[in-house]
Amino acid sequence: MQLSINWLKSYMDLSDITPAILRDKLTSAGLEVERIEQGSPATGLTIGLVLTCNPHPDSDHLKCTTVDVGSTVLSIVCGAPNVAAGQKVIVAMDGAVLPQIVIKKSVIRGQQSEGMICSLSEIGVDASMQSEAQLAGIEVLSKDAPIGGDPLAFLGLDDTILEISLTPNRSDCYAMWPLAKEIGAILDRPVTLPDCEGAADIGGPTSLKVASEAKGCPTFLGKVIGSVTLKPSPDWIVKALHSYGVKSINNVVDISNLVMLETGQPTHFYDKDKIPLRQITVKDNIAADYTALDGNTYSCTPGDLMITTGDKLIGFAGIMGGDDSKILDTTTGIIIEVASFDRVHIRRTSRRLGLQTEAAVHYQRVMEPLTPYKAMDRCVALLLQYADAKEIEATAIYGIKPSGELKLLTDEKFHNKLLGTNFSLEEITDVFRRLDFKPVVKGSQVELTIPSYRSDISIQPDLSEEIIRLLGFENITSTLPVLVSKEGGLSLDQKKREKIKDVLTGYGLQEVINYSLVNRSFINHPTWELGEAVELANPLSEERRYYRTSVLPSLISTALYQLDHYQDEFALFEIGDVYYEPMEKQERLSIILSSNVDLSLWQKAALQNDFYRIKGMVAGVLSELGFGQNRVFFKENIEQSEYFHPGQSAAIYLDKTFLGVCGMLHPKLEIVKQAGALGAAELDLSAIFSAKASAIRYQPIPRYPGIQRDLALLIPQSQSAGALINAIYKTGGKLVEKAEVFDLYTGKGVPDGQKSLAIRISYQSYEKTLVEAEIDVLTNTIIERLQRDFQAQIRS
Amino acid sequence: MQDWQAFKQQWETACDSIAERSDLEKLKVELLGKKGAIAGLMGQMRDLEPQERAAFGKEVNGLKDYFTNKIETISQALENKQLQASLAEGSLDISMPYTRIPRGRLHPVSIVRRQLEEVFISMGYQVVEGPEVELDLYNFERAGIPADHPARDMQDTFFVDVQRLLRTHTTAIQTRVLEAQSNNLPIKVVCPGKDYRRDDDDATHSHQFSQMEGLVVGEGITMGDLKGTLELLAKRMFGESRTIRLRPSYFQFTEPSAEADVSCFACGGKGCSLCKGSGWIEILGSGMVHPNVLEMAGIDSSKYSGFAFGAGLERIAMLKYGIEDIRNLFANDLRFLAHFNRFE
Repeated sequence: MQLSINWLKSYMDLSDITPAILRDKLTSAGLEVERIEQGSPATGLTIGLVLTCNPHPDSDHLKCTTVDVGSTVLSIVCGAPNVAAGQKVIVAMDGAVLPQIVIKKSVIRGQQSEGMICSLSEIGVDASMQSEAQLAGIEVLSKDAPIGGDPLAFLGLDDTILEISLTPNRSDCYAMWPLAKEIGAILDRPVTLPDCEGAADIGGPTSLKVASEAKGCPTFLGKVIGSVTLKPSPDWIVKALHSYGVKSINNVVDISNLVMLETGQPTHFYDKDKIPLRQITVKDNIAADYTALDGNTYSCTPGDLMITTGDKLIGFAGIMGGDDSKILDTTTGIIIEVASFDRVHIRRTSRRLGLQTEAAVHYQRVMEPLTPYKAMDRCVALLLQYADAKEIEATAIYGIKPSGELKLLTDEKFHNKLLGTNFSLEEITDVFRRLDFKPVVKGSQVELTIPSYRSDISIQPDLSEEIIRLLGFENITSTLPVLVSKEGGLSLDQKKREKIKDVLTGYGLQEVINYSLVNRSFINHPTWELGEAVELANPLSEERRYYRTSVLPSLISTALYQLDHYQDEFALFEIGDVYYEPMEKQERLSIILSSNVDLSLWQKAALQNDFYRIKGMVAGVLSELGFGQNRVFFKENIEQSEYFHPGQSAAIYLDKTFLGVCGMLHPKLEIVKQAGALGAAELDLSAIFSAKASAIRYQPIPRYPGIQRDLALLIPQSQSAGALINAIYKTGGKLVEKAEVFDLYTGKGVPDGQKSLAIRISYQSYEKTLVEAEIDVLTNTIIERLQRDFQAQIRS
Repeated sequence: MQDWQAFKQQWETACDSIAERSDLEKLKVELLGKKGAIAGLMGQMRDLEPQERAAFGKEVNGLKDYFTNKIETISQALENKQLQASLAEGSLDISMPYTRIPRGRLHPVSIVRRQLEEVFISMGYQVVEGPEVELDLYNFERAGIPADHPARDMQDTFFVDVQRLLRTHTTAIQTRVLEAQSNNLPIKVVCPGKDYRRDDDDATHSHQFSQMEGLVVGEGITMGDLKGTLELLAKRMFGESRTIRLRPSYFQFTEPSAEADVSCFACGGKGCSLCKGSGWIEILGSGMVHPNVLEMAGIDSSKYSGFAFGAGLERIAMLKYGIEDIRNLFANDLRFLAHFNRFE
């Protein structure tokens, strides 16, 4: 909302208040002032009368003038084509500061020039506010301009505009009158608004019939003014409109615009001769093409509120009138329309048409139900005073006039309890007086009458807000809540998530956060298949149409971004939700690792991010959460996704629950073509979180020496070392402390289809010293099992 | 008669010429070994008269002790020399680059979230999360924003269908908490999470962002409690000398509502480019929970009151670290992320 200080001054005394003070007071009362703008920043201007104007002896376009500026007569060389003797003009005196230049006495082609005669552009008036004639030359002031006077004051350019950002509950302040009342309350000073209540009550019997066949129009007022005289508006109206960037057209059109600025209520004036039927009906079931006031043709569809007379369309309700009934220079009488329209209808239609007119913007706000009546009163009063309104007919009314005011009882106790303050009944009563809530003290309580324009006030806390914003938040003493103690902190799942983050950053991984909304290609290829993606009904773009169903595709694109920016070493993880229909949610962890990470260039040391490293990370994370190798299983990745190398990836299980996939990315992927072999993983954290980990139990350090046995085996390629190790544990029982692979070899010396595996078994007893013979027997049992179940051959 | 002096002199010379450990071992055998020179002298004892033996033995033992010590000293000297040589040989150019220990880091938004969580956990708040694909009911209706309310315009929403949408604010978590804990008061929670609004991405807008909201409901909760809590928050996040200022504002969820500004941590309140000359920086919205919101959750608003506040995590990260463009926080450029690398 723009606030003209000059306009505001016509309602209240502001002589002791600078714009900066006003800004601070409004902002701290909830009307945030975002900017202060001066009409024209120029200084050193005066009004002059051109006494003589002769051609410059040495130029074919310059003129030499003498200008009376009251105190003296100046010689000024002027280049404007329209300068002439007898004109009242704007003179920039020696030393004047204009937006573009500082004026100094000078000699122009041999002729003395003691100032400058200015155009509006030169003093800083925006081109959009000027006519073509004004843009083409110097500004010629009207005859009554006082010589030696201030041209900015004369033109209304000495104004200061405050740009106020209003909260949605105070949409009443989008109009001058309620805004002035609000400022009066904030500053605690009287506000005098024009009194025109009941002005529309005059008029003889009317032939006009107004009605609505649509739900979205609760009130429609129409009034015939049989005769008006079109002429220029009085100066104050021109200036008022000007301060809001509205160009003056003629008195009648200007009044319509002025009333909207004053009351916030859009009005529409029709040429009465264009509506001979004297019947106006609002409908919402029409489909047709229609040419509006701006000369463009728009399509209306059922649902749009349309103004009609008989079979004829005469306007998009609340948005724009029609071209064929607008006020022209030939107009001799008018029909006034003042109506309320449903904001949702107006928003829908104006958005579809791309027509955000001033009226449409006003209608999209919450409006006070009584505004149409107030606006009609004001229109009639102004038309009587400035447009010689005659042949006035009574107002035709559709809808029931709402009763305006709400009564509320309150006391200081409620507010002090909510705010934590110590205000007296007198103090809060004074706030309500300032707000014009007409407080009447009744014993220990006060009765308030809430004006209809304050539709935001209905319950006690609304009043608390009024009290604290006018008396100031500094009256609140800071305390901390005193409550029954309850345990706070993170939930167990949240603690596990934070633990995982710490473990991964400890492994050297960088956390990233990607957008959750993705395009179709991400959805077509999930890390594993779970169901349909959640799709937006109103996406901003195809790029962001679906909520992601896996996190890995996002991480791959993050990795591609790094490659594009010449960073070929990365180790990234992301934790985020995935969704799939119907309303299923999983929290996921995804990891991606570049093929290696340099540790020391000169030592040629690097981390090799091969399959076994990503496997190690996954095992490490699970182990940190209490799931050791006896519960975590890496199995063949049978659910072949787009992402993983079929022979270098594993499906991960915790007991029998599927947790996700890890391994090397598929060689066909673009990222692998660019960056080489990459390790990656995606895990279902929700499943991990819901699994129960075993508690830590201390076991004494063994007091007896252990025994080791190494086995060198040949087994078929198809047999897995993991299964073989498990078989050793199972067969060996609790004496097998550890069984691990210490060599894997294929190639020369090993038959085709076989692999050579070296395994070290560590035997340990916690009860006695092991006897070699006993271990030999046990080892043989293990070997027999391996020979039987794994077709293992012992190498010698 | 044995010439003790000559014997000692001869072996003394031999000892002094030793330079290598192998020579020393050889000399040790020749002199002190079973068949060495000293043993030879001992052998001569048999041929002596008994009364001469004691004096002779004393001389021989004296020489044995002397040379045993001498050889041990030489041995240590040689060892020391060898050690010095190997240390000299093993000296490194310690100015050469170290082996990099890969370091991982949290995303700056996670860092800010953790810091805020820690502040509130220390005051006994629970941390509660909720779904991002949310029901209209919890995101709007229960937050006091019915279908045709203008406040919905402020929050352009991504809809999935008639009932479901992407959460536009973490207030949706609060309305769930209110419902779930209406019979288990007081409530003292912070609710962090991602939100989505139908905004075009630019330097200051993002269709995805994160918030953390706080909610306290109990008997006798006042706006003073809110102010005190926000003051503490401002000090922990932006420095102990910070103060806050409340300004009236409007949120559907709260009444009265207030915007909280923190005194500018760049200029201390004198006015600078960060605070646009005002000395204050807007950090969050807050207010007293609207009685209708309590009632909708089944909480008696005549008995209980509460406060709520909500801060944008990206905004706080941007203010704290001087990040100009919110899109940096989602581009995940490693050169950008590498900045957020140390204890604060």
